Amino acid sequence: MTEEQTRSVLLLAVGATAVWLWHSGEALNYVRPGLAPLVLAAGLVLLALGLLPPLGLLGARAAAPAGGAGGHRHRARVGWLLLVPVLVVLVVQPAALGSFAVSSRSVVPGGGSGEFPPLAAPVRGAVPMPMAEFVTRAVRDPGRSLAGVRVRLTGFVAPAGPGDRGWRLTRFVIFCCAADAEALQAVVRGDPTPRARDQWLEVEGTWQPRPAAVDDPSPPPPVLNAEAVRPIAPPRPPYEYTVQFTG
Amino acid sequence: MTSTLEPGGAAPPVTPAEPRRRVDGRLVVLLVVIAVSTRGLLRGSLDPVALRTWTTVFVAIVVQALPFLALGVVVSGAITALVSPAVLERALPRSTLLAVPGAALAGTALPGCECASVPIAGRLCARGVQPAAAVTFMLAAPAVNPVVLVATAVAFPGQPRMVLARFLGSLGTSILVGLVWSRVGGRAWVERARGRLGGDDGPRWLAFTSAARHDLWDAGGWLVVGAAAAATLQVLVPRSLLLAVADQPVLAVLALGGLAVLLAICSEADAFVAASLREFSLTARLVFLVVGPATDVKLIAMQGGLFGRRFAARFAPLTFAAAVVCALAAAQVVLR
Repeated sequence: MTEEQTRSVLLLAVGATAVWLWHSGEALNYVRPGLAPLVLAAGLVLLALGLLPPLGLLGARAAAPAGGAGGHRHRARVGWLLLVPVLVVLVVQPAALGSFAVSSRSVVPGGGSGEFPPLAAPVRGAVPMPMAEFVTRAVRDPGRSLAGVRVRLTGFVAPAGPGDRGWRLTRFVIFCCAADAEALQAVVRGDPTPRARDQWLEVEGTWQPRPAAVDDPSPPPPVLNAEAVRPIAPPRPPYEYTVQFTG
Repeated sequence: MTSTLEPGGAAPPVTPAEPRRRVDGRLVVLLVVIAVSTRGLLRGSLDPVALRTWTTVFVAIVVQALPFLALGVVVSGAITALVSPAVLERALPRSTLLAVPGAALAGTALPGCECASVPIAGRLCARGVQPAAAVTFMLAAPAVNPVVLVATAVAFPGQPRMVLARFLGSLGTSILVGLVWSRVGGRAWVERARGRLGGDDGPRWLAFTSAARHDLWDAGGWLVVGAAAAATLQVLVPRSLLLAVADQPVLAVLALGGLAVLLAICSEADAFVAASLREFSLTARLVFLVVGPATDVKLIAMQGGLFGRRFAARFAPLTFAAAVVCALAAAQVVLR
């Protein structure tokens, strides 16, 4: 094989991996859903660059770039590193971020300037809501819209902080990719069953009211008194994607 | 600090004369086939657990950057194939004082993140654009384009001044660095970029695919280096270390500037992270937003690969200092 063909093979491997990430939905472990089609597009560009003649695999076997930039002058070996993420994706298949990625501090969204919109209608006896909405309303809403309301939350188990009883229901919110993830957390009390770290759960319960911390930049996470806890399969997509819940 | 962190240190010397043992493409095929057949073999078995987080963050940075990298190499291929040096010479102002701000404004039109702009800047340089203007473009394009500004507005609801301050701070950084670099930058890195990239003539399609493939190879490899460095730092540096300095103005600014370098977050997402760093003043968070797209470990690796180690060792501290100064100036003017 010529060196140009060898490069083509590597480009094809990276491109095919990108397409597979999109096709299998594994891309959602790494990036927000809006970026997944772009990952596909990037994969197709790489496949095209690796296949199309004259330099790609479909070109003539001996095709050498005619004094072009990919020519004889310079052969950086660094490009081989592109194989590393391909092998990591295929062999390790990294999971979505879990409890071990939770830093010591969980994020608490700020209060917006506007009113909180009314709660959604209850479904099967509880109001389903994203973790971001629960945390924001619990910590920031002076109108205490959560008081006495039975809510249903989805998240995984992370250990409690110092001084907490129980464990913390956790969900990551990502904005672009998993490198910018922030943890949203609620302390769950009243669950008698010991829970394994990283177990995904659906929890129904009511918020334990506390005065709104409108200005406090890092208030403690809110507390949920659990009434029903149900293990579930990991949701797809695994993350939440926004923390904006007020106007 | 940046030079010790610089993972681009291993830039391979350009020694084309010596015939090197080739890696055969069949080896790649074999590796990939083995990987596919053992798919998920190590799934869930990775310990220590920090490694699990590391693999996710590492792959996430690469996957997230891939579309922008693809866009970048397509644009740089198009520049090579379609824009001749003669055209550029006629279209661009000769005076550095005009070309640099012009390049900064041109940067506002390219909706990419920073991984796209490094190869493009290299190509512009190779095509005869003034080096100072190319550097300015490289800094401005990821920082002040419409996508980034909209993301900032969404992340800071009710605070449109933050958007304006970010725009001014980043624009100022790119112009300031461009002007300074035109004086102190020297020519060696330009020659290096031209030597590595220059002189693609011949049929347009060949020039296009040759340039795109070359840039993908180079910039992609360095992107992997940078992503590995950023993932390592994310896993190793605890956030709590930062919060200790949140209420000390000077340290807070330096801490968030340093965090922006270490985290290497995409410029389209960093506003959301900044918004969540509520313990810090708006000024410190603005520094985070202005420094991030200008310099971070991933960019240092990519720039070191394309323009040389010496370039990266001088350019990164200069950019960091200029970004901090411009962000503070913008905060003075806009945020109070």
